[in-house]
Amino acid sequence: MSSEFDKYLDKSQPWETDPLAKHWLAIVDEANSYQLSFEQKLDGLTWKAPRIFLTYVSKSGEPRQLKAKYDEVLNDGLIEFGCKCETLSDEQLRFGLMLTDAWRRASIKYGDGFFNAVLLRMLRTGPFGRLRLTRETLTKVGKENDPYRSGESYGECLAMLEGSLARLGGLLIEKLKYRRDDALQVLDGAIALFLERRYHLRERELLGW
Amino acid sequence: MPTTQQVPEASLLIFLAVSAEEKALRTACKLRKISFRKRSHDLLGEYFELGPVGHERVLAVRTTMGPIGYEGSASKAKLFQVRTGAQAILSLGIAFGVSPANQSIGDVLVSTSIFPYDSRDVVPLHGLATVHELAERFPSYLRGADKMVSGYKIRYDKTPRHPVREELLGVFLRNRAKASGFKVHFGTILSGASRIHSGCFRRELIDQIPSHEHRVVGGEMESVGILVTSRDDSPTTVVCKGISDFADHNRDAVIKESRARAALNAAVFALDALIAG
Repeated sequence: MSSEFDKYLDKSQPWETDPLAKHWLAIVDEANSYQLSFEQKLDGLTWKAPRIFLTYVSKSGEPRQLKAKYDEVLNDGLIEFGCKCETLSDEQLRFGLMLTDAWRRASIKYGDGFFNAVLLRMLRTGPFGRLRLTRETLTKVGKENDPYRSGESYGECLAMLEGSLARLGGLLIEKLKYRRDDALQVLDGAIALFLERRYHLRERELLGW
Repeated sequence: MPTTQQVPEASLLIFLAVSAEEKALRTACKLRKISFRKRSHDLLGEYFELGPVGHERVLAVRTTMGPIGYEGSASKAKLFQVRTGAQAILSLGIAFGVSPANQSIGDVLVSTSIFPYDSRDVVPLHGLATVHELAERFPSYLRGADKMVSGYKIRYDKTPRHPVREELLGVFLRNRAKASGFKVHFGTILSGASRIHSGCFRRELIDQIPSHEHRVVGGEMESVGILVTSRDDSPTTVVCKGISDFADHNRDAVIKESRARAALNAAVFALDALIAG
């Protein structure tokens, strides 16, 4: 077969072909050093779009910075390349955004109400509800009706939620080489952030509610 | 009526704009044995507590007609979203249809996207301001260069089409067969502050909007205000409204006769879909 087809047959990951991801990952590969950070600002009562920053020292010794709106494909590539965030809180924001994307399939499939009920039951009765940030954030979220657990939907939805957490935990350990305790701290912050965004908790505090 | 500083948490807010819509939801709740208790909050104002509907916990909020103004949908949407922690907002009630040949009064429209038709560029015709400039550019085309031309055209190429909340849209899609005595049309819903009494304006509006996989099925006045709660990567809103008129010269007379039935069809369809999940 002609080699002109090779470039269409040897890339299987989105970040291998996405122009933004390719540009950033080439810089990560060549830079003398870099720092990765994430940011999401609250403007009044509105969360702005999250952003990623790559601050690096080029081969010629010049400090430079790239910035972009949070992009799932770019982030996947950065994780594949083992790019950890500069701070734990940034890592918690990053994984909170990843958790939001990961759990969206379940919320779309089962609807917001059922998703909320399964999620809160899972967190309140499972091990994550004992981690500090998740435990504290759950006290600000009202009580949900218990989900109907006898049908297939409950088990499937629960499996989707737990599966996403397990996948993200695996990325923290295997790709980003976090120690177990640190990985759990990241997941704790990620879950707390997800709950904060989903139930508008920070905005409520601003309004004194 | 009880006044309370405690507003219950909710997963879904239902927004209503006129008394016919409130009455229709009240009737639909009675038919389905769902509570509809009027409450009041010092800062937020009045609302209605429906409690659990299927898997959702629901509050209803009455605004004034239209998105703007002191009690319009925009101002109430953000405050109620934050206070209740709701993820989804359903704009329920009556709307205009766009195709008398394919739609009937009383049919229900459900949004697959929302198009804010007031967000547009109004540019001079041919990009030129006066007939003097037209004559310069097209000398053989125009006579009488002393006459002023005030032609303009509308452009929607920069107007975003906003996605709706898939979680809630999915509930309506799964339960579309539950509609009885009317059809349900899924598609793009136009939203803006105009009360339209001209079929000509309605047809021109549809013609000007760029074509899309989701065809335009109708229009209304409130969901563009509720978009203050939505980011395109995290939308909150779905529109579910009964066709009360076709935005033409007969509008007012037709609405008078049709709005109760149109609003009730939408309310019953929405509640039945939520109950089934």
